[in-house]
Amino acid sequence: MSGSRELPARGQVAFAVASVVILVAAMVLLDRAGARAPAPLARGGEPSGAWLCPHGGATDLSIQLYLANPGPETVTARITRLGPEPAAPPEGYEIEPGSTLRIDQVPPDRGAATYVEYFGGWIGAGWVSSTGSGVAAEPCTPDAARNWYLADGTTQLDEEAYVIVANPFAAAAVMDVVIYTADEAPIRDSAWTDLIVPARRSIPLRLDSRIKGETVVAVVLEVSVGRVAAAALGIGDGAQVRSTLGWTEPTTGATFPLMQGSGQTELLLLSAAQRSIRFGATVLSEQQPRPAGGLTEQEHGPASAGAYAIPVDSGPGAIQLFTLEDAPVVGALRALGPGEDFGATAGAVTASDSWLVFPATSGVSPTPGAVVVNGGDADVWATVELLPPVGGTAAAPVTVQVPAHSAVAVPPELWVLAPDAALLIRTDGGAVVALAASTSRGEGDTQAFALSMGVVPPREE
Amino acid sequence: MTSPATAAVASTGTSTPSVLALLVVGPGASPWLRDCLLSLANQSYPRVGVLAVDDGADDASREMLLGSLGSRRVLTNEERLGSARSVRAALGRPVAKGADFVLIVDPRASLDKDAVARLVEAAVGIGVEDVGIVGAKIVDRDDPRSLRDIGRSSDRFGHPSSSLQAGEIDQGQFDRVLEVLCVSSAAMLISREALERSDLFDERLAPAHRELDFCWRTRVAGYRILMTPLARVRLGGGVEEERSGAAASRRSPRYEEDRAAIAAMLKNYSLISLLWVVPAAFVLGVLRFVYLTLSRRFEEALDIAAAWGWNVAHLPGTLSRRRHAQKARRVRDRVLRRFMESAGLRSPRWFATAERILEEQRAIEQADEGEPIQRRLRDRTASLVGSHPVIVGSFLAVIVGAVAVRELIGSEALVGGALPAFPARVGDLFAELASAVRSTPLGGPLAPSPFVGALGAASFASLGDPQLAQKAILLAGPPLAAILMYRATIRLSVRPGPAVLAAAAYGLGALTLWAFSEGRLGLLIALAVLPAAAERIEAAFAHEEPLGGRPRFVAGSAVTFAVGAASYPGILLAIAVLIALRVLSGPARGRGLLLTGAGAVGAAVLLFPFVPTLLADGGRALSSLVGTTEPVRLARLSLGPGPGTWSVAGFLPVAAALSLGLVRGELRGPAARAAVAGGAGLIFSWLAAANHLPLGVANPAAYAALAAVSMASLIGFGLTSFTGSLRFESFGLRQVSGAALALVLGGGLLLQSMAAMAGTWGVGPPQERIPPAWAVVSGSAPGSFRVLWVTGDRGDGLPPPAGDPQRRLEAGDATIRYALTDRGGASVLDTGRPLSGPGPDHLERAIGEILGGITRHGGALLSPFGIRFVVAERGVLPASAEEALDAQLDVDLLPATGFTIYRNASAVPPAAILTTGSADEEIIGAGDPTTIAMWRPVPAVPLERVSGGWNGPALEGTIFLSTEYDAQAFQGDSVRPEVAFGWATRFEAAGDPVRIRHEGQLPARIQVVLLTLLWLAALWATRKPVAR
Repeated sequence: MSGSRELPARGQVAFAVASVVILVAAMVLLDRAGARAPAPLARGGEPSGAWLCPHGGATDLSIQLYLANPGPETVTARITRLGPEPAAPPEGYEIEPGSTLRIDQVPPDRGAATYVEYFGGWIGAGWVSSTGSGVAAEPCTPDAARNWYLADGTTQLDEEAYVIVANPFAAAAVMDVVIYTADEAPIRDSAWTDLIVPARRSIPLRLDSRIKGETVVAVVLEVSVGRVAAAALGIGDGAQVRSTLGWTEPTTGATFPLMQGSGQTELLLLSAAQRSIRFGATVLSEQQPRPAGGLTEQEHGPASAGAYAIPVDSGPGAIQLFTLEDAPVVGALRALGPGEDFGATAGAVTASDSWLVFPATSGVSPTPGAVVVNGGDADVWATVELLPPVGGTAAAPVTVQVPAHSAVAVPPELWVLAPDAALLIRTDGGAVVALAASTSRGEGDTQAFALSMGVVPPREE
Repeated sequence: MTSPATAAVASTGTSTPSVLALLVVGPGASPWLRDCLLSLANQSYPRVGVLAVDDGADDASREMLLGSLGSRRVLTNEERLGSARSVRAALGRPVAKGADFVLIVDPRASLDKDAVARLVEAAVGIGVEDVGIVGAKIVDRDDPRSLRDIGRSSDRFGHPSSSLQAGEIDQGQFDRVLEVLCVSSAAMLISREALERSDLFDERLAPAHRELDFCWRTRVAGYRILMTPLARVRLGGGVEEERSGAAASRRSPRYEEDRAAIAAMLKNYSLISLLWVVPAAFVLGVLRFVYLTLSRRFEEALDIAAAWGWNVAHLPGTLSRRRHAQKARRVRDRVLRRFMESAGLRSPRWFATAERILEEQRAIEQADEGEPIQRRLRDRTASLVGSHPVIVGSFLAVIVGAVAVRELIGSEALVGGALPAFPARVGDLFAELASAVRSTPLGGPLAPSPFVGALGAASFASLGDPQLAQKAILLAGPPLAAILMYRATIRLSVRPGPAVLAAAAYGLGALTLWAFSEGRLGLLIALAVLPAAAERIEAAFAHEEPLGGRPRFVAGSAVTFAVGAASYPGILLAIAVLIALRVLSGPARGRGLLLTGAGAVGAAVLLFPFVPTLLADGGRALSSLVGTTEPVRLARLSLGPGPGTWSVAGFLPVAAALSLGLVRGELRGPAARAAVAGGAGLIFSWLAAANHLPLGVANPAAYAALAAVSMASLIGFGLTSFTGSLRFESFGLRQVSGAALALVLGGGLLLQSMAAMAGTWGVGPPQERIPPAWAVVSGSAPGSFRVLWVTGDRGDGLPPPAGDPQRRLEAGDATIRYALTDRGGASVLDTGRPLSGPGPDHLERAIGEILGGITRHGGALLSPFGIRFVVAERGVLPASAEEALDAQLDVDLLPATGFTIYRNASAVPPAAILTTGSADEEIIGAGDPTTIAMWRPVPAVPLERVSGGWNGPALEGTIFLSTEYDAQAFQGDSVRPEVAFGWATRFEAAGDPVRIRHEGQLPARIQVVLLTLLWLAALWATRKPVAR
C-alpha cells in the first residue's frame, strides 16, 4: 500500500477516536453538571384544612367545641357531626378574624366525633367535654393516620374506658386493635381484628368490655385500609371524665405540662417494642429542673404499658420524658385535680414559637389557667393574646418571661376575663410548649379538672 | 366422437384438408408483411389458400397485398374494425366457409416452409382426437434461438401463465407436442368445427388476452389444443403491440390482463365454479389493490379497480357471450384444471431468484466436490450471504420476527407499555378528525393529528377492526424502520450487504425495540420516517440536483416530514438538527435550504388543521417527558425497559465508532456528518431529559432517534468502505478494526435477536400486561371517569394503561410528571396532541395547590376535571408529593398491590346532570381554588356521550361538562353555556331532556375533506411510475 493511502487512513482513525473522546468528555461533563433542579412551587392560594375531634358523647356528656381564628381573614368552617349513623348535612359557620367560636352540642352517642373543615384561612379547634361533675379537654387533631397509640386507659372497678375512633372520610377504614397492659401479653381480640369503621362514621371501642381490672390499658390501632383519628375517653363512677388524644407514632421524648393538680400525677407509657426500654423524666417548674420521681434510667418492659407516679406540686410545671438509646415510646399524663376529677393530656412532642390554647373549663366559677414551658437553654418572652368569643372585646396582650428550663403560668387575670376565649401565645427567643390547665366548679360543688394541650398555628411566611 | 379435423377432411371429400390462411393487416405491418406473404407462398403443404383483410393497412402493405394476392383475396374494411372483428367478417365469406382449417396468421409472422403441414399433421395425423386448435413454436424473428411462445396456461383466475422465462433460449427443451390451454395467434390453426362451436375472438379484449379467452372456450367446447414444435414461426416486432381501443393509451398492461381475466372467468367457468372463483378473485384483487396502494403504485391500483369496473359495466355483453360459450360446453371445469396454475398470487421474480440461487449453490457444490463438509458449508453460506444479502437478511428477519411476536398475534387486543387504546369503532376515529371539540380529557379546540385519519383508514382496511389495525401497525413498525433504513443507506451509496447490516442494527437497536416493546406507535413510525428524511436532507444539500426533479423532491419531502410530524411531532426536532448540520456543512446550502424549506412548508400544508396543535403552548406537542440522564444507558439508546435494552445494545454505538474509523473515499463526508449528528443527538437527548432545554425542543426520544439513524448509517458507510477495499490492502490496524467491527456487530445482532425472540415485550394480552392493581380502578366504579396518573421526576414513565406523562409540574422536591386519561387509559386519538389549554392549566394549578401543602381538599380541587382516581406506581413518587397526597382529606387511599391509588371522594362524572343547591351553584360558578375546595359530592346522573355531543334525561339542576368552555363551541337545546370552575362548561338543566351538541362541525368537516384532497394530491405527485 502506498504512503499516500496510509496517511488518510490514519487521519480517519484519528478523527474517529477524537469524535469518541469528545463525545465521552461531553457526556461526562454533562453528567457531572447534573439535571436542572426543579424550581420550588410558588406558595399560593388560600389554605383549607380540617380538624378531627373524637370527643365522644352520650346523654351524660355535653360537648363544647371551640374554633379559634388567629388570622386576619374570616374563615369559613363546615361542621359535620359523626356517630354510628350516617352523618347529617354539615353546618356552616363563619369565624371572624381574631375570635373564638364556641359550639355547644349534646351528641347522643358515646362514639360521637366532630369533623371540622375550614376554608379561606386557618383556624384551630379543640373540645371540652363535661359530665357536670367532671371536665375533659383536648385539642382536635389535624391529621387522620394509619396508626394510633393511646396510652391513657384504665379498666379498674367503676371505670369506663373508651377509645373513640372517627372516620370522616368517604371510604371505610379497616383496622386491628391491640391492647397492652402492664403484665399481660398484647391482646388481639378477634372481634377487633379487621374491624370496619364505616365511611363518615365514628365508633366507640369500650376497653373494659375486653379486659377488666387493669390500672393501665394502652391501645394501638393498626389501620390497614383508610385513615382514622382516635382519642381515649375515661369516665369514672363519680362522673369524672378525661380525654387524651392519641399519638400517631412513638417518639423518644415528649413534654407534658400541667398545673393546678393535686400533686398525684402518673406518667403513662406504652412501648410496643419487643424489648425493654429505658427512660427518664425531668420535672420543670418555676424552680430548678429535677429528676421526676426518681425516674432516671427506669426500665420499662417489652410490649407493655405502665404507669409511673410522679409527685409534682400544683404550680406551673412540666414533665419531660426522654428515652435512652433512642427507644421509641408513647406517653400520656394523668393528673388528679384539686377534687376527684382527673385531667389528662397527650403532651407535646415538639416545641414551637406559637401556640393556640383552647379553653378547658366548663360550668360555673371556672379557674382557667395556662402554663408555658421552656425546655430550652435561653429565656423566652411569650406574648399572650386573647381571641375573644364572637362579640367579645379583646383584652390587651400580656407578655411573660419564661426562663430557660422552667415553666411559668400565664397571668390568671387575663383569661378570667373571657374563659371561652382561646389564647394565642407567640414567643420571642425560643420555642415553648403551652397547655391549658383549668378547674371548674361542677355539680354538687365538685371540682372539675382538665388539661388541654395547645395546637401549633401554621408558620407565617 | 369423431375428430373435427377428420370430419373436416371428410366433408371436403379428400384426404388432404384445405387450409385458409387469414391475415388481418393493420397499420405498421409493412416491415414484416413481405416475409409473411413469402413464407405462406412457400409452404410445402399443398392446399393452402390465403385471404387477407386490409384493416387500415398503410399504402405499402396494401400494395404488397394486392400485388401478392390479387384484389379478390384482399378484403378491405371501409373503416378499421380491429383484428377480431376483421377475422369474424372474413370468415363469413363463402371462400372461407369452404376451408377445413383456418390458419390465423399474424402479418409479423414468418412461417417455416413446412409449418402449415406440421400444424395440419398435428391436427389430424398423430392420433390425437378432438383437436380443435394447433399452435406453433414461436421464436424471435431476429434471434430464432430465443423462444417467444410454446403454448400457455392460466391461473384459476384467468391470468395467462407461461413456463417460459424471458429471453429463454430454445435448446429443444420443449420439442414435443404439448397439450396446452392456449396457443399464440401468431399462427393458430383452427378446425372448422371448433370455429363454429366456439364462437370467435372477443373483440373487446386485447389480442394478447383474447386468444386465451378463445382457446379456453374452445377447450370448454371439448376440443384439444396442441402446440407442435415442429411448426416453427418467427415473429417480428414487440411482444404485443396492439391494444384494445382508446383505453390502451391510458392503461397499464395489468389493466388489460385483469380486464380480460375477469371477463374470461365470467364467460368460461360454469355457474358452480363461479360461485367460488369470483369471490376469491375479488379478494385477491382487493389485496393487490391494497398492496399497490401502500407501495404508492396508485395507477396500477386504479387499473385493478378499473378492470373490475369495466366488467361490471360490460356485464350484459359478457353474459351474452357466456350463454354461447356455455351452450357449447362439453367438458367440466375440473377437466381443464390440469392446464391451469394453482397459485393465485404469482411471483415469477421470486421463483427466478430462487432458481438462480439454486444454480449458484449447485455450482459451488460442484466446485467444492471432495472438500470437507465444513468448507463446503462455509463456501455456500459465504456465497449466499455475499450475493443475496437482502434475501438472507429478509429470511432471518422473518424468522426472528415470527418468534419474537408469537404472543402478540392472537385474537386478543394488545395492551401494556405506553400503547394507546384504540376506540372500539372505526367511526370514532373519523368522528374525532371531523369534530370541532376534542373528545379526550378536558376538551378544547386543538385538532387531532391527521394520523388519526390514517388510523381510521387502516382500521377500515382491517375489516373495520381498530384493534387489528393497532396490532398490524405495531408489528409492522420495526420491520418498516429497518426497510426504510436499508433504502436510505442504499441511496447514500452504501452497498446492499452493509445496508442490510445497518438496517438490522437499526431494527434491533435498543431504541427500536424499546419503542416496540412499549407500543409507542408514533415513535415507531417516526423511526421509520427518519432515515428517509435524513436521506432526503442529504440529497437536498448534495452537489447534484435531486433525482426526479425539484417539484417531485419537494412533494416527497413534504409527505415524509408530514407523516413523521403527524405520528410523532417531536421528530421535527431531529429533522431540524439534520438540516442545521447540513446548512453548516454544505455544499449546496442555498438549494438545500430552499428544498427542505419548501418541503417543510408543504408538510405544514398537509397538516394544516394540526399546525395550531403543534404550536400550542410553546410547542408542547413536540416535547416528551420520557428519557434518561444516565450516560451509559443513553449511549446505547436505552430510554426505558424492554427486551434488547440491556448492555448488549451498546453494540450499536461501538460498531458505529469502529465504522467511523473505517470509512474511506467519498463516504467520509456523509460519515462525518453522521458522526456529528449522532453526537448531537446523544447530547440533546441528555439535555432534554435533564430539563435543560426549553419545553418546545425537549424530546429525548426524538434526539435518540437521530443518534440511532446516524449510528446505523455509520455502520453502513464503514462496512461499505471496508469490504470494498479489503482485498487491496495489506494487513494492519484497518483489518483489526474490521475484525472487531465484525465481532461487535455479529455478536450484537445475534444477542439482540435472541433478546427479541424471548418476546418479553411490554405490550401483550391484557391479563399479562395490565398490573392487577388496575382492577381496583377499572372495576370499582361504573360509568365514565378520569384518572390522574402521577410519577416522579426521574425514572421511567407511567404504568399501563396511562401512556406517557403529558406534563411536568415543577414543585421543588415534590416535582412530578403526570397524565390525565379517561378510564381506558391513553387514547390514540391524542397522538401528537398535547394536554394544553385552559383546562390543563387549571389542573396544573390544582395539583400545585395539593403539592404545595396549602390545601387539604385536593379531591374537591380535582373534581372539576372528572378525576375519580389518582394513581401512581408504588415507590416512584417523591416522598413530599406522597405526603401531600396522603394529607388530603377527600381522597382515600385504596389498598392495591404495587400501586398507590387514591380515590377522590368528591369526584363528579366528566359529563353529568348535578342536583345542586344554591351553595353548590355558587361553587361551580367560582374559579378560585378556595371556593372550589368547598365542593362536596352531589347526586349526579351521567350524560350519555353521542356523536357530536351528549344526551341526558329530563332533570333539573346543573348540567356540568368537564370540557373546556367555549361559548361558540357548545349549543344546548335552549340555553347558552356558562363557565364552570373557571374553565369548564355548565348549563342550567330546566327539566327537559338534555341534548348538547358541538357547534362548528361543518368547518371541521370541510377541513377534513380538504385535508384528504391535499394528501391524495401529494401522494399522487409522489406515486411510483407505472411501466406501460
